Amino acid sequence: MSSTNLPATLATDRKALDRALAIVVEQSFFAMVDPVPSEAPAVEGAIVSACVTFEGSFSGSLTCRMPRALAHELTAVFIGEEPSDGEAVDDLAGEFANMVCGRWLTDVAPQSLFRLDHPVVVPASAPSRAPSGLLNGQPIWVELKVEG
Amino acid sequence: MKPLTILIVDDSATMRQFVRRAVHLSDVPVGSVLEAANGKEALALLDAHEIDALFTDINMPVMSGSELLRELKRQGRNTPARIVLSTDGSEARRREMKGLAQWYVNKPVRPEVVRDVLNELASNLGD
Repeated sequence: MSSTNLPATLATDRKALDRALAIVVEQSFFAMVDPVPSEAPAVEGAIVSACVTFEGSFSGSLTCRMPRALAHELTAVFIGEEPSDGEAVDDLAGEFANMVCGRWLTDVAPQSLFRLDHPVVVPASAPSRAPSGLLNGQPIWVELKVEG
Repeated sequence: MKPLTILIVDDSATMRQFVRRAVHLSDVPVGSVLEAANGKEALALLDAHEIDALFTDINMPVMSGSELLRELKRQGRNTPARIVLSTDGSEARRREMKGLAQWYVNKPVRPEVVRDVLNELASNLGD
């Protein structure tokens, strides 16, 4: 893929993003991203949002939103024990977004160098749009913003 | 073979814990496992301890992994063995790391990859 037309096409190309999400989930969490059924499961409890901004031959941000309960489950799988505090869960949510973003950038712009900022993790509300997939039966949203 | 002293450098505490777990899955005898959240903290630990293997992220606040590795090269240090664990798997980044690190591993990292790297490192040290 040429880097010249990247920003114009990437924001609408979900395939690479879905691929990056699937790889991170499979390799680091030994799980699979399931397709969303016509009636997505209702979200219960708090939602956490982790945003990574990147800058290189083009810039933008990638945001992952998921139920905090899911982030807690993923943290336990990743570190091999129950997280001792909420800080570890926030850290994991940020690292999750960081890995998806890095994997996606590697896929779409393998010749380019990017700087990824430290993830910003905040409480959020569930987006109104359909989730990107289901993980452990819970919704996860991955959103990309790309600038020139 | 004496147990290895290992330094894990990453701004994510959960990633450091993940690598620590993976390190202990290897067949290599491991002694101390130290942690740093950025390159600056790592340099202080490298001055204070005899480290055999360094696992480092690239994108970190305060001092990045690239800056850390360049500083080690500038100091002319032969040790520790250097392993980059990065979300950035681009060819450009790999080229940048040539001559700065012996291994380059893309995140997400499978635990068995860390094990394989350590086994290879131990084999090299034994030669």
